[in-house]
Amino acid sequence: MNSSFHYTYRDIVNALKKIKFKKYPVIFVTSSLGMLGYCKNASSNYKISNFFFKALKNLKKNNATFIFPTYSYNENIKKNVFDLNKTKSKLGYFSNFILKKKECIRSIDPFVSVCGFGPKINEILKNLPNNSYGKNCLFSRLVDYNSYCLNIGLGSNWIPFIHHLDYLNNVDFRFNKKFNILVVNREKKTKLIWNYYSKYKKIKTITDGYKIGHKAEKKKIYKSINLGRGKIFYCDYKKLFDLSKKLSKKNHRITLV
Amino acid sequence: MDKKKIEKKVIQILNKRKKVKKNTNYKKYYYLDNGHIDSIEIMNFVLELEKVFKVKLNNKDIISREFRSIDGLISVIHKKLS
Repeated sequence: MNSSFHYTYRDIVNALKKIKFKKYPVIFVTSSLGMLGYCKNASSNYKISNFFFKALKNLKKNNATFIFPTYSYNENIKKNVFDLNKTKSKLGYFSNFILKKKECIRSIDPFVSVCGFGPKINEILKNLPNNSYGKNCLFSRLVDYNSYCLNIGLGSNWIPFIHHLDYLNNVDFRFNKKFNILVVNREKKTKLIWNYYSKYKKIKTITDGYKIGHKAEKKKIYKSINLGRGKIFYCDYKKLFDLSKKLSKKNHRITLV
Repeated sequence: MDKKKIEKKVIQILNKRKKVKKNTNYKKYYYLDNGHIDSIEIMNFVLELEKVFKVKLNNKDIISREFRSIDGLISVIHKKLS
């Protein structure tokens, strides 16, 4: 790795401190840590991830609950097994780093599972329905908490509930598909029928949160703080959700390139 | 530098990480969304692009939609060079 650096651990802590969260915040954290440049004294992926995890845990003093996406997108796997402890996240190193943390609890979702810790985590992940999107799903539940989106190194285009929005709008490029899933949690094995809002294979579409993200920036719903070579974007989850609902009602295809 | 030359170099840099399939439709290949480069490896990739093309890529460039696809990335670099 390059010997020069763009930010330090202290910079991460100070950047996060600048964000004013309400009481008992629930923070949905997405990241692309490399976008921020090199971090001083973090010469490996493990060390960089550990710095961020430690800095976020510092915020726990505010009684914050953290949720990290650990999506495994099981759609194309013939043998649909979702092992809470072994199924890897397809969202890169940091999400798999989080999965190894003892204090983190993972949701049962063979497609878009999340993993988190904090005072509200049990309540949020308890008795989630057997569908990734729609009524009472995680993305819908978060609207009822003091929830925030925190995009570390990623832009305002990363919208956690983008497919939930598609589901609510009953879009013509996705459909409800049932999957037989075997959920494994250590010794316990449970067969489930899981509903996922799949993409039509014949209709080539690319998901895109840029249009909504840019509008949210213009309306100052999404704000940002500099860190290293990049930025941390953050916003109130409900405000972003309400804006997205309004925009997508007018144009269902706003979530596509 | 014309777009063809940029394309060749971009593919070389990407291939170092993971081979880009020969018949890839660049316009539709979103290499970041397809996990071609890990989110942490991205900085090495950006610095290599800057070194090879002698350009400065700012945060706006990196988080843009264009940057996520090969075709878009070629355009971003082409604009910087012209």
